[in-house]
Amino acid sequence: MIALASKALLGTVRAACLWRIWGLLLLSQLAIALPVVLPAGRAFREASNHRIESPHFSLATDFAAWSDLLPRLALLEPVLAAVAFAAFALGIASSAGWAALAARGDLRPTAAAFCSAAGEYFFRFLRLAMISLIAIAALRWLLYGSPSEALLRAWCGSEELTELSSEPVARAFVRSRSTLFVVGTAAAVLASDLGRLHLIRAGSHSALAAIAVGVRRLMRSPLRCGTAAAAAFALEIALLYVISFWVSAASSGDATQLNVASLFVATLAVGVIRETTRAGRFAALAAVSEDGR
Amino acid sequence: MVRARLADDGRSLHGSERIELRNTTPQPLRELQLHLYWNGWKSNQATWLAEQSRGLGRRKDRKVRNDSYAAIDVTRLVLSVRGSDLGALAPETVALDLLPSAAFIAPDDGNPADESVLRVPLPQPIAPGMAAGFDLEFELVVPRIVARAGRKDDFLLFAHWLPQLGVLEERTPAAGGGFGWNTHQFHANGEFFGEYASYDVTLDLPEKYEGRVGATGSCVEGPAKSGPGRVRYRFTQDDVHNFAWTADPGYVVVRRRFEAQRALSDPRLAAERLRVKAAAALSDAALELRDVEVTLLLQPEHADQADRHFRAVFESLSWMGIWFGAYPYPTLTVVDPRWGSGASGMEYPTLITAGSRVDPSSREFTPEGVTVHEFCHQYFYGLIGSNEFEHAWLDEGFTTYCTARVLEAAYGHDWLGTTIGVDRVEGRPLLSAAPAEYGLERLLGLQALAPPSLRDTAGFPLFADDPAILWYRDLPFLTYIAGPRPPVEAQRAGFVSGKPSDDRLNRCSFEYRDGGAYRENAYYKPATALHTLQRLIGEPAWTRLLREYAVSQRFRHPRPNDFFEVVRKHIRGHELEKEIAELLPQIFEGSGVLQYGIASVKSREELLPAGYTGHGGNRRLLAAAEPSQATKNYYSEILLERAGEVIFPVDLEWKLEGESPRRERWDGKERWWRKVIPSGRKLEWARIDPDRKLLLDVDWSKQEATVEGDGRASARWTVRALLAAQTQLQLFGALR
Repeated sequence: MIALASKALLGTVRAACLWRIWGLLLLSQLAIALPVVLPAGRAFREASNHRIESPHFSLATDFAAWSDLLPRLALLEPVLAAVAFAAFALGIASSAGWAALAARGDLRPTAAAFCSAAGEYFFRFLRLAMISLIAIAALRWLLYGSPSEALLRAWCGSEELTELSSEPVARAFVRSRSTLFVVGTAAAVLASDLGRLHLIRAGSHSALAAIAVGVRRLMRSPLRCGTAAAAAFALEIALLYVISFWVSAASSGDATQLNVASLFVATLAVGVIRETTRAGRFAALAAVSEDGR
Repeated sequence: MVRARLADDGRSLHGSERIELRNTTPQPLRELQLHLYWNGWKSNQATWLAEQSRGLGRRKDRKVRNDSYAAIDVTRLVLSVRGSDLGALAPETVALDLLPSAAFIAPDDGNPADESVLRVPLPQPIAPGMAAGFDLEFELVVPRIVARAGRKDDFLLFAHWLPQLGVLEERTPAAGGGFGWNTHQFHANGEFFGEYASYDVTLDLPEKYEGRVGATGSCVEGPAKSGPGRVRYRFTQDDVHNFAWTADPGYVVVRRRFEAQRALSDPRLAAERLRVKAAAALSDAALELRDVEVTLLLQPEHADQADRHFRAVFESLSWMGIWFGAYPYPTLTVVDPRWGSGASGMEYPTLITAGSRVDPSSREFTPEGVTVHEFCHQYFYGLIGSNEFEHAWLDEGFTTYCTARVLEAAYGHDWLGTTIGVDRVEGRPLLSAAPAEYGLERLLGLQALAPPSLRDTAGFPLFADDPAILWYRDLPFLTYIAGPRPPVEAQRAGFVSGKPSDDRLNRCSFEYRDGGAYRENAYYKPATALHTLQRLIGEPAWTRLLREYAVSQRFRHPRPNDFFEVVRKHIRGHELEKEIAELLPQIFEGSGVLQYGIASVKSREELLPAGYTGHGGNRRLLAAAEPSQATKNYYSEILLERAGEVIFPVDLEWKLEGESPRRERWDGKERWWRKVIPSGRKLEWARIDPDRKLLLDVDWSKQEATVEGDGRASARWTVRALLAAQTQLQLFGALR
């Protein structure tokens, strides 16, 4: 287990050294977010010009004026949908690149190889993602849809949580259901990640077969797979927590060029952490699936 | 006098009631009108449930469970009169059965299926000054709690459960004048209206409730055995307009005494007392408070919140007592209703229901917010018994206003918070930190998509609702902002985020366009209007004004005009007397909004004279020249605009470089006004309403303007927006 956690950590550190790759990914993320952020920036700018002490313009000093500004910030849903889809596609491409670097020893860790792998495996990974999504949707239906409602009805006569006998019981129910959903979702993502690694190693094209392999590997060694993924996830969240203090510090006090720049760097760092820990997860999972071959 | 016996299974109640009535009007009383509120839930054809099914009211679900239907049947109704009180009916005592001639009426909507008002013609009018007694028996079918009345498992809350007389009042000239009953049907939007009376109520309950009962008034008897497996309580209270009671075998009962002298020794309260004394020219006796026995009935899971409730109640008793006169009753019961009962946050005379949850943060007003609000209703509803059907704002608006004042005086402010699932997270997502419908869901709240294609095609959101996923999507530690939330501004934000122009304020609560319009016009708008009036009228007149209204209307049924009269009296001689008087109908009668803003500010350097001068041979060309820094002169203008319909003067303040700010008042009547400063130093900034008096103004984001913008703050917020966007988008990237 410790070895697997070390693999995740090592994979993350290695990915952090590949600055060309995550730089490319960061640029892509920024490009995707721009349609959302630019209108917000314009509205902020306009609002800022309407404040006398504009460098202080913040929630803390002018909550009410801030409140009044927000209704003016709105985007059309189609734009949001396009942005969301672009983010989804970028996630698939990035996974393909990192998975290929982790699974193929012959691949040199360069941006060109990363992009090439992302393109090569994109559609196979997309099919896998669809299967994974369908599994998650089914799980959600099971836990939040009719079966869950039927369970609640049988238990307390209604599908409303308010019918449960007390607040602690309701909270326990919500937490249990949520835990199940999270564990199920994590399992689906994990199985599909293992499937991805299999796709790359076996060079196969069948997403269904790949996910079947992923499920089999996950069922054979759930603890090892879980440890590999959890180590990377824990590292990601821990690093993000550290960044959050940075973000908080740069957001408080008067706005200066220095803290605006600092905040921007923190924002980039968040992207780097996400991408490199993703690489770390693939590295650890590659070790698991290598052992299981 | 009431005797009620609850069946062992808690599903029915048999009661007997004696109503003694004296006709205090100058007209003979020819009929009675009784509220039978619980019949509003008798069938889905009854007005309350029918309105509910049309989307009115507080509850979102349209379906009614079979066990949520209720009924109240009057099985006996007898007029018993002493001969001396009813001369025309000579016999010493008569007992006339009135039930055969009684009939249900539907004065509001004519709904023949509604049985919430019973009209009882009297065989002989009751002459002015004469009294009569009525003996009733009634049967209640106790529902699974619908609107804060009924049962949930063995938790009971009985409110508006008695057959209750309407209010006999003088009608306005517009309503035909004379005296008559004010008895509205029970509606999904809106509350109640009752006459002050003395209540003496005996409850006969299953033994399991022994020691776990709370009610309006003081317990004068009990718990006493009333039979095998039964227990009896008797409560009495004068000068209240309703009687509610509750019982739950699970209650944790805590009692503490509010000691007036001890409370007033608090330096904050002592200082406020002196201020009010000076402002309203009151004697020390008028500012005395009374000791009150406070009983807290808590759910076991909230037992650790007793101190927070007691502090909220004691603070409320103190501040409200100083401002509006002492709370006159010897008891107060605070009820923490059972989970899922839907009985939280309601007021009854000397009994209020609180609202809380497990493990509230110490930095938020839970449970304090609800407890303070419902206590404030003891004044604006309880002591000042306005008509909640017709003028909901007179109780809810005043109470909401007072809630903010008490919370601010006692606690300062709370903090922004979000509930994810059943868990509380401190702070709100950056771009929905404002209460504007928590509106940035449409911007960066990509949660609205969740993801869109799947939501649309599968018919349910893929990730929404799951607390862990929502947490991962938002990563609150990165994208949330935990900021202070001043109560007054939070109320104003509630007002602004609603739809202020959708409806007018002063109408019957059940006639509002929808539930949103009811909340806006009964709660937020009047509260914001009162905060605005407070700032406009200023101290000490405002303190005097409110005190006079509250004291003069105690145990009466004021109408809006009673309040307006007091306002008009106390603004005499005010620099804005005419304007404030004109503002009242605009706010309280109309649906217009108050919205002034700065459309633009300009400051241009004046050019030195250039061009030709003189004529003929004397014509000379003056070349354009650059003025020296010291001689630079600027032409500046500030363009103000009125975007709303409400007209009120606004103060403009502006500052020229190196000079002190100056002020000027615009009468606000035209749609726009240009303030020109033809010559002088460069304009730095301008702002309107510099003292932030006009809380009713629906857009504060345009009340200031600078000539030279500064992009640093906006750049910082934009980067935060970018971070929030990236965080939300990463969930989509993680869906693989």
